[in-house]
Amino acid sequence: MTASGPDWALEVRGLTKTYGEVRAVDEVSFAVPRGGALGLVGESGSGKTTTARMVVGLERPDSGSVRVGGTACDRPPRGRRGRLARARAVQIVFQDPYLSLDPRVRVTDSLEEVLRLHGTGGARARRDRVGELLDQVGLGTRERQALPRELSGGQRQRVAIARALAPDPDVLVLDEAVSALDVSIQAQILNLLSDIRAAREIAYLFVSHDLAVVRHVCEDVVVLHRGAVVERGAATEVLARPTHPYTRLLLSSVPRQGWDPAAIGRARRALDTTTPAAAADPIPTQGALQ
Amino acid sequence: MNVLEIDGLTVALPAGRAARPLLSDVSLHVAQGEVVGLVGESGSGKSLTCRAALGALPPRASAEGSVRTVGDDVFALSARALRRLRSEKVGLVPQDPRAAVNPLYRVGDYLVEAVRAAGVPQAEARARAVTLLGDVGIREPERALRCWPHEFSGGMLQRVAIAGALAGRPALLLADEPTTALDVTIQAEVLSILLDITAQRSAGLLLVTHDLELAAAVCDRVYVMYAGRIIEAQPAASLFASPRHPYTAGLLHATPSLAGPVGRLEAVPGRPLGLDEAVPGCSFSARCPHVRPTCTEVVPDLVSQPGAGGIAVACLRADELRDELRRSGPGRADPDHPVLEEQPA
Repeated sequence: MTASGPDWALEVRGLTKTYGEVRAVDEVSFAVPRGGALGLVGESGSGKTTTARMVVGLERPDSGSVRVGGTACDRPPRGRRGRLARARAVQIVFQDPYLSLDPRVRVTDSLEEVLRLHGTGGARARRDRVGELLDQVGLGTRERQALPRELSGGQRQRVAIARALAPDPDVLVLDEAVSALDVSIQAQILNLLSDIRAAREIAYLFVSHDLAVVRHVCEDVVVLHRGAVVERGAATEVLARPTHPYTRLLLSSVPRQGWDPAAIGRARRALDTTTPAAAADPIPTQGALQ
Repeated sequence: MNVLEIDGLTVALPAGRAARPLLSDVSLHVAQGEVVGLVGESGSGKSLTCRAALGALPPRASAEGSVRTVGDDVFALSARALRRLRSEKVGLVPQDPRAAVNPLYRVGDYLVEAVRAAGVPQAEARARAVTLLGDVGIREPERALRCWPHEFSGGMLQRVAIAGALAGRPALLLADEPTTALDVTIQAEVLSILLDITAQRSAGLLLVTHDLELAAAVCDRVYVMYAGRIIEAQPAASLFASPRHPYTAGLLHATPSLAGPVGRLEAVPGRPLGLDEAVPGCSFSARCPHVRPTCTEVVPDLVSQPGAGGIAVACLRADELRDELRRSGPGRADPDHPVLEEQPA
């Protein structure tokens, strides 16, 4: 997994980030092959979002390295050229499509802006490319002239994906990108993500708390618990035969018939007492895994 | 005895504000000691139905039909009687405890206020608050009373909110997405508390959720809503294996599973009807893979199915599709699926 070379779209090694006394991300390493998809799984406080933000350069790691397509991206890029180059390498889609689009900008303008920024041809070439991108994410003519508020959650997330694809990045980071969507819409977006990956060589870093979704989108999975990697491997394998107690707990927490929620509570408390933070304070404070 | 009985409830906004009623002819009941799921996607009317049980409707909305909550006809109650219903007879568990518990009050003040509102004298209120915190599994309840909400994690604060909902010894608990804001491993714990309490007090629980699998896992019966209507009602035990409405079947197929084949999902095409859209006939017809011309002309009634189990479906083709919709292949309830083995301490 640590082999260096042009085969990795994204390579993260020993990534660490500390806020005050909290180690949000602790020596996290993983790699995503070109055109591959890696799921980063964990609950709130597991460090998955901080890791994603360091990968796109929104946070600066305390130590460790991020390489995209073999090029080091350890620190936030400096200057306009640096920022644009980073944006062409890595793009991110956020969880909430209601917050991540400018409410005053129409869909086509929102995409054209990205293309103009990255110096895509003349007005005509840009218009063609906008059409191509919107076709790819399945947005019809009516939606193209719409403002974000005129679109549903699923349509907005399609716009966000089209926008992220516009600079033709090597890596797309999806931070809980389908979590806010209704099930029937979520399935459409997940299928769209599969189609996009089949059509072009793009790698996904898919950050999610939802194991079943990760299993459908990703070949590989990394499980984070309190900032550290506790398990990794092929997604179907890890989810079928989890070895770490935390992965087992996560899996058994997914509701299904014959489910015993009380047993899960007991297992979680057992897992907590094996880590020092929880035992000290009987009333857990915010940020603890409670 | 039914602690909640909604019969033919139709709720509409004034003309021009919506193209269709928010709720159309909704009928459901929750019996004492029963856990009932109300499942639907955003905008389906599930939260509105839940709030109608408390007589809380959107401003200027008109309502037809009847709602009897713990024996009271909520639309006929005086303001004072309605307040009593809300503070004593029904407990509402919120979706997001951070939004529901005032961050400027200590947890004790929040609970004592709820207990006082339910008619407990000041002298006994504090003791009752301690008992309530104990009931929801908070260790050291005395100490917890002196804490601020921000000192609690989301899961612990949701317990406080549940304790608050229990202040009046309610006969009916309404829980609107009580675990959606929580991490998956916490969800199980909060649910088990809610289920335990419902069973101990033989109260009724109406669990509103978007998660069909969750409802099927913990409820006795499940109602599925779509565009303001109940389109299917089934015992949870059979809903999963043999959904009777194409929408329910579509939802189950569209849900990524932890077992079985991976890859493309069978998505339900299109999107739910907005409030500004009204279609003749079945509101799911535009997305339905089994649609027939009559489906776009006739609105299907929710029809009780012959035989056992109180199954009801609102689909013109319910009988023909019965076998087709039955789920084949491994679902999420796959026996090979890894189940947590409890580790010896």
